[in-house]
Amino acid sequence: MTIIENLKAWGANTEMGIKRCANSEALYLRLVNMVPKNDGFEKLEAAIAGNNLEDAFQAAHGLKGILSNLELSPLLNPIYEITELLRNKTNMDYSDLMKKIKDEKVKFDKIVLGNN
Amino acid sequence: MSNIINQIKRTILVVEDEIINQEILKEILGSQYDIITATNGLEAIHELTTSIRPISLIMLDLNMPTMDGIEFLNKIKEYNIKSIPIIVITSEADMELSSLELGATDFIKKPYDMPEIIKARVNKAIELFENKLIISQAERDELTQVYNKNFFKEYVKKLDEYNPNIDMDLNVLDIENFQIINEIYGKEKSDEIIKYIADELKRYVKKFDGIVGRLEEDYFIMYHKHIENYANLIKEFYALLEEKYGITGVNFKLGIYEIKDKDIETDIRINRAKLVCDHISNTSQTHYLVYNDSDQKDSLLHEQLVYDFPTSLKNREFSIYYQPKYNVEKDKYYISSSEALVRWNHSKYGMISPGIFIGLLEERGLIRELDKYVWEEAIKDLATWKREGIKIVPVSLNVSRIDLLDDSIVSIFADLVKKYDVDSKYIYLEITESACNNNMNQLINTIEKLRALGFKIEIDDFGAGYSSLNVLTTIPFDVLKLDMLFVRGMANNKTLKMIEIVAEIAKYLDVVLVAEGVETLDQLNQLREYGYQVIQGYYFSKPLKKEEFYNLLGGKNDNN
Repeated sequence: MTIIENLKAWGANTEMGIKRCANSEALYLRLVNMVPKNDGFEKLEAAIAGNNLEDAFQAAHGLKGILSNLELSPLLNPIYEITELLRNKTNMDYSDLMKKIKDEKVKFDKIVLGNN
Repeated sequence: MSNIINQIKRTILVVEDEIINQEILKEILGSQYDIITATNGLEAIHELTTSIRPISLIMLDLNMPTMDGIEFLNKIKEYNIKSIPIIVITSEADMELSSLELGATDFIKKPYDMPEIIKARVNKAIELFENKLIISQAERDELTQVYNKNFFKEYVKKLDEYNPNIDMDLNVLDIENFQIINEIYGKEKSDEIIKYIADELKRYVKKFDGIVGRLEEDYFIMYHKHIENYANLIKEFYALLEEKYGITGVNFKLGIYEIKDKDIETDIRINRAKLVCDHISNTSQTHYLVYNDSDQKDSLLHEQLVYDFPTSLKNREFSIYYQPKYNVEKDKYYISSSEALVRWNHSKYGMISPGIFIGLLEERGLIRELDKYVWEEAIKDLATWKREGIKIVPVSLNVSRIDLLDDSIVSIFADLVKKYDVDSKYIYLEITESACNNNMNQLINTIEKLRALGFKIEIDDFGAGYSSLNVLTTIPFDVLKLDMLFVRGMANNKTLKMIEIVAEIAKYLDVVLVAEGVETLDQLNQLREYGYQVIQGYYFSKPLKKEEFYNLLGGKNDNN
């Protein structure tokens, strides 16, 4: 299976993502390949660990923008959820949400990097 | 957006910290725009203040490190770079109002809308902004508030787009000799006149669903539905300016280009209308002309002549011819005077018809130089002949309407007769009847001063104008010269009657009566019968070279 097919099977709305990239599958794949290296995930994790909700919000918000543009829904959904909580500076235990994000990130990385 | 504007590839500054988002925008917009990027507000300000290329649009993400979008919007006010539209990119609906308040033009949501929508919004933002800029900064002529040339051209295109099947005319209106009016009346009065005219033109074009613009200092351009007959329109226009605003002495010329082919560029249409406008002689009674293709060929020669004029004058390519005038009161005719006429023997084109160059030099404001040259040459000739013991006769010198607007004309003639020691009674100044449509008080004042110095005033081309009787009762003069068209039309009974009436008037006013253009014995006899005292025309003599006339007067080579 191709990366696109795998991403689709994972739950990404690749058709919409490709459309957004001016119908360029090549561009979509190039951008999808950049996501694993995006430091937003590390920044989010570090900020949550340090209870720095503002920095965590900034990181999550940035990720939300990228993931929503590429329609990587399984990863976008928990990121979206945590962004809204962080926006309101909700004081809570974020570990479950972070685990969800990490689990999906692992799956995503495997699809993208595993096929490289 | 206009074609010209569309051809320029504009630059967009994308301010976005996420490379992936930048890349998507580059892909969507890159084919149409040059994209430069900044990853935060500070970098963006640096780009804006140092970029050599003008930036047409900023796409601004609100959430960025170092300096976010809101801070950037606040900051750019300090840098005086407000004149660039900004589209804010945000997923936060509640940020829209504050962004708008800070000067954002539009929004693009995250996740991004479909590429076509983003493109359309970007295009629209740039178009609206540029149009607004053009409109606010450059649309109108500052003084008259009509369109300036560039904007006029844009509107012509629009009118053509909306009315592809309607016949249109593009007209150029020239306020004749405006630079002279400016000199004489001063800038304030001239500006007032220009504004009046512009206001009237606006009202006029409105009737024909058109637009008006200012082409140059004294030229207006109009584009409106085709008009079949301009004669009444021009008449109304004159009447309005004279009656309503008391503006007299301002003449207009209207060049009309009837649009047969709407694919012809507006610049060419304007040039063609201006071409015919410039072809209308200042002295003719025609105030408008319609362009035809042969006009194009003449214009090149005209431009060359105007260009060559100063050199030709310096090189003495202009020479004076004298046409004798004969006194026919008694059976023995004799030369009683002459008219000095100018001829241009151009070094390249040979003899140029006065019919071409006189009108041309008048409309380009150069006739005064030529007139002064002719006056001096003729007075110099008189002085030379007198010195040589020839029995000299008075010479008539043509005085253009423009000359009469200039007060210095009195001192010019006074100085010339003094310089060459010629009695002023030998100088007749021929002024055309149409010159008398100028400021009458000033004209009378000038004429009285000249007459007090002994110069004679001759009304030239009498009967050709439209204010003849008025002229006779207001202008002090010594000689009345019938327009040659009357002589040519002598076969017509009505014309004959007119010739007779003019003779009666001259008798009543006790002035010398001259007829020009006399070519046959019949004409001569008839005119003598009516009491015409002096005759000029080919029946007696064509205009003669200086030497020939000198001989005729009894100079050393005289064989008679």
